[in-house]
Amino acid sequence: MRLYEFTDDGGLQLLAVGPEWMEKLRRLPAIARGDGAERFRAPDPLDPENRSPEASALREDWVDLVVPDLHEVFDNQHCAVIEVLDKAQPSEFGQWMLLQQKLLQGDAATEKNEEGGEGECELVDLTIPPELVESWYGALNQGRLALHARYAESESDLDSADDASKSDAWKHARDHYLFYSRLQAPLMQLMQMGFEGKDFENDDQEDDEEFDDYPPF
Amino acid sequence: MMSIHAVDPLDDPGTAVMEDTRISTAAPWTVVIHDDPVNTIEYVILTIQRLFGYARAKAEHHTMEVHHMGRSIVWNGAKEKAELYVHQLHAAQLKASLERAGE
Repeated sequence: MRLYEFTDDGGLQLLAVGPEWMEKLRRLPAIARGDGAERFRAPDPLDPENRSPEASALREDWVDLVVPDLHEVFDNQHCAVIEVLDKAQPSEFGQWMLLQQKLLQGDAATEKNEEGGEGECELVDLTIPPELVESWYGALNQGRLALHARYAESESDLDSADDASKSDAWKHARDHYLFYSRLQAPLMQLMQMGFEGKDFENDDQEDDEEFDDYPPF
Repeated sequence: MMSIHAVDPLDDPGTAVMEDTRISTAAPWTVVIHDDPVNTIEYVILTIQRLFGYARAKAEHHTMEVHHMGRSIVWNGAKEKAELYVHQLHAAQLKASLERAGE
């Protein structure tokens, strides 16, 4: 199933994005500014053990001069995400997928919908233009950094499938962390192709199961 | 000792070039990238290539050093430029710091 496409000019189109994905993306700025964000929003430019007078002066300069610039960079990345979400278009591909699903499920799906269990969800396409690819990568990275700082108890904790002893909050964080991580992969490909001056060709995603955990509906 | 003198370049004897032979006595600073559990290896390689202009092989070497040793000195030189590099690395959300060479 193809769920994203590179555009000819080096952008990314996400196809048939469902409400669950949209919610995770809309929450991104709040997550990225929440607990755990201080690690990258107010980074120490020196070894934390360095307590010399010279280090103290440099840290003060960093807070006064560099940190405001970092905040501006990071906040602009959030704006890039919101800008794309605000331009979401109804997905023709998504409608086709819904139709196929109905045909496959037949009466069972119809009855389920009539019982009020699940209504039809709106699927949209999102187009990330080339000039916003890097900002999107950065915004998703902020989300992952903040979630990891807040929830991970070990280095690979949020990558773990073993969640038997974990809280609902941790599972919620893990879902967001993995979603952001997987969305970063095609963005990273575009950034590499742009840096190396390669054509923005779509690779074969037939065997790409990265998104299978996150069906659009 | 500091001196400034003129030299004639071999390829163009008609042009005098000022060669500055002053030696800076200020201790150089190093830019260090530290390991973190979130940023991917590919992203770190790309960031090093873009910021420092290193070839892919050199950027990979530094990235793998970060990955295995926890840190890698990626640049050394004047303090102002080292500060700029750390600023740029922080903007790229990498964990980076300045150190005096030899610390």
